[in-house]
Amino acid sequence: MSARRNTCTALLFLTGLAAAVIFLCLGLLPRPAGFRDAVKPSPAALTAVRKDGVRRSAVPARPDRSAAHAIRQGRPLSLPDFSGGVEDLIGGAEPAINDLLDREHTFIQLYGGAQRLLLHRVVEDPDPKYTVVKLTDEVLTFADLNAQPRDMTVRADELSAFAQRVEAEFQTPVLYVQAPSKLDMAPLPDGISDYSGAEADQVLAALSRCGVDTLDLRPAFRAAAAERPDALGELFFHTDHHWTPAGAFLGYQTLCEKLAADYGFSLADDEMLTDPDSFTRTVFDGVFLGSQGKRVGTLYAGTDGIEIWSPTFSTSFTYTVPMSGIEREGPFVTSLLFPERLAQTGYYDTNPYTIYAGDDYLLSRAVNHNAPNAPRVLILRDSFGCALTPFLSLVSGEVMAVDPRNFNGDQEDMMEYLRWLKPDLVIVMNTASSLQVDPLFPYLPTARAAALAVQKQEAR
Amino acid sequence: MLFSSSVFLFAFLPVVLLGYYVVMRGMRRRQNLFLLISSLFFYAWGEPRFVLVMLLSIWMNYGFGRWVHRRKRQCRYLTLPIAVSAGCNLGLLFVFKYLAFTVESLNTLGLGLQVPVIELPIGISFFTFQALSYVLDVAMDRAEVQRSPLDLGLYISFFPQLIAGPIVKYADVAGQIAHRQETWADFSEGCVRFLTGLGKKVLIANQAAVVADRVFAMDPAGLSVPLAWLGSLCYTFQIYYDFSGYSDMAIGLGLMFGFRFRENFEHPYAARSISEFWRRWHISLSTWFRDYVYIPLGGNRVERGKHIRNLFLVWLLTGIWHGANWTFVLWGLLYFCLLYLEKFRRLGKNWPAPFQWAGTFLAVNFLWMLFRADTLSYAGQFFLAMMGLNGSGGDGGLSGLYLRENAVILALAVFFSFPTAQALGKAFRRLRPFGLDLSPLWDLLYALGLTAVGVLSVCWLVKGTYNPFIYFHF
Repeated sequence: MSARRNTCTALLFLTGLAAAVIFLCLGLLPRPAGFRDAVKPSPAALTAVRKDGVRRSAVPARPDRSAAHAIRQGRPLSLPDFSGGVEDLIGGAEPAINDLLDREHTFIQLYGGAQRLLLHRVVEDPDPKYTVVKLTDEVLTFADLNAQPRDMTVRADELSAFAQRVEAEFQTPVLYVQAPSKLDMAPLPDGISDYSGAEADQVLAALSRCGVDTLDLRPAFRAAAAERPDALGELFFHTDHHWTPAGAFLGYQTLCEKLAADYGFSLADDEMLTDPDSFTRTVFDGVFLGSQGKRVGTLYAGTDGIEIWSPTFSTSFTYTVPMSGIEREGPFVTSLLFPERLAQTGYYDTNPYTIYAGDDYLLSRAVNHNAPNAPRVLILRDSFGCALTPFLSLVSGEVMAVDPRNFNGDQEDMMEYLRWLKPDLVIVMNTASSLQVDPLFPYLPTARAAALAVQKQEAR
Repeated sequence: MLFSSSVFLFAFLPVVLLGYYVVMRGMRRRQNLFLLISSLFFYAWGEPRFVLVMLLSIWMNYGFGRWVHRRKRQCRYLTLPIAVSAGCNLGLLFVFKYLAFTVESLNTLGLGLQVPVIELPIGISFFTFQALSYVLDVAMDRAEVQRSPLDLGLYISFFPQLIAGPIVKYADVAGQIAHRQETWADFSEGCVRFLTGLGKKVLIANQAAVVADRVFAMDPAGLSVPLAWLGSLCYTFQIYYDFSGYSDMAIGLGLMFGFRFRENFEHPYAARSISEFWRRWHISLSTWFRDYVYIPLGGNRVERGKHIRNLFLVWLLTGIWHGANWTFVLWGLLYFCLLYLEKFRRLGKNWPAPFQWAGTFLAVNFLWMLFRADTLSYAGQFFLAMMGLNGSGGDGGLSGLYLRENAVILALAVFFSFPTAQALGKAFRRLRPFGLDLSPLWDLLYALGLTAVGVLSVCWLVKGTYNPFIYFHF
């Protein structure tokens, strides 16, 4: 009896082993694009967005160097660089085999499915910073189970000094905007601590003490959560750490109130600019698996949809990304937004969030031809800025967005940048967890030194 | 190389199976040579230079075996070759494993010696004891001397039991090295054992390890009572499922290549006394000490004082074998105390069975906590935390979180700690609703279930989840 049982098991085991070996070997060969590349979103849905016509689109997708992408494109897979010797070979073999095995992300999917069956609300990640936690209403978030509170005094002091220097040298005001996070709208499960909110409070308080103007967007989101139980799922993606376009619009509305009140933005005559009813929203369901979802798969996380917000009023922009050779002209949807990204498929190799503003570029410039005399804004932002800046462009003469992670310079270089761009207002915007990320602040001496030290260590 | 790694599962094992069964089918000497080379490669994958230590051990013990054999033929005393063999093998072990600890301990007396920094070759305690077993078995007439250094090399370095046991005694496998018979029945049983072990290691032990390692990384002064207990229980299950999982994989891999190793674990947490626990836990180590230390010293067939001395020595050595730290020494000596109380003071003999089980499990759990602690003082503080005497308050819901998140895994860990699963399996197989023989269905379900365990384990490995290796001390 047990012989039959053992035989069945052994046959399945050997079949699985053989299949895995063949699959691994095939992964080392170039092969044509898979069937998934043929699957596109509904053409009708795409035309609904594209009916305005894309005038020019020199928009390459963000280069993806992953093995999975290489294989899907039919290119031979490059094996890890083992030139470092035996130790590199030993150290690199396991991740290389794992990457090859999971190039279709089947194992991540199964892993997530199993986590769901095991009723796990916390899915540990090899990198503890990226442990995925299910918040109360099926919305995911990242949590660091080893998190410890950090003192943000240095960050806040240096940020204040930078703001004061900008105001002194260019007579340009600086506004610090605190973007929200999911944790402002829903608590983590008992036993998991997050200190980013308190750290943001510390920075805001210190900036205010130094006379730097600040705007905290979090109360608006907390109020929304208090009013509507489903607000979290509307204002933030379920599977991604970013806010949705609706969330970004709420942030934009709150920001506009501040800009109108304190910075001379004339919005009184153009209420439609901040009225959500002045926009049509086209929803693309199930096209997005965000940063959190990618770590646990769709069986655990589900998928997100994304809305394309299109103004019903006339708009005209020129959007350029100098370093990437991108120049797009036309109305809001086809210049500041990149709806063609929806044609890319594969949950793991695409990022539909970048439909808004394209990506985290070093510098992008959105010139609003309908408001040539409106103030010009430079925004130093984290990735939350992607969804915000298109909306901000509606009320600005020009929005110049800088992602400091791509800025290869120090404070002096940033001052040169400001001298060149001559903004009327500088906004620094980050979400709470970004405040700890040194590469987002290369223009602050301590953060730059820390980021460079990490870079050197990684290079070694 | 770890069994629970993609490199082993999808590169090393398929290549070795193909080479063994396809390329060298029917050629025993070449098969053995191939297994030896594969085993050395397997060992070298972790730290290539330590292969030299392994080769030295093989070369040394081949010579000692021949020496013992020659003196036996000459009808001369074997004291000298056995003493030299034990000295060299244990000397090698001492240098790599205990020298730094000894110097550190001497420095506490104010000697101020420089502490050498010596990296520990993985599995050195296992292969040293196997090597010693060869010389001692030859000396005790339990096995013939091995004339082929390659076959002896295969015995010492055979990859299934190389880094985490079981400690295979030479007499048990001497005949199998040259004259084993591979059969499909053994091979298929090996696959079942391997998958069972992989599941134990990856799906249960590694998950329990997440909690255990996190709790044992905390300051014990701040641990709440539930968290301290949860941490110690998770470690208790981690070490069992990790170690027994590795043993299952080793036994399974041995079967795949025609070797039959003895069982190493027999549901130890179902034991109702410490003596029974050690008859069920790491059986290969217990029997090694029994055969080569306890019985040669006279075992229990001596006067009471010597019997106690023999027990003391065995448990002192058992503690020291597990690691170079005073925690292991104390751990071994506390087991000696418990066994003394059981054997000579009849501790627990008249207790009701549930109390016997609970007392045994609690004692084992406390001693695993000591085993896991880095220092004696840490263990002391952890003990106070478990007793609620460290003055700590709550843990902010951490124990609740860990318990909630690991409830299913812990339930499985408890369930499979007892022979209930096998008993249930047999009961199901006996069921004949409406006279129908459902055993083919059960067999299929069993095979599919075990395959699912294998697939899930691979998912965990590919995802790169926590996969600790807890034998570095051993």
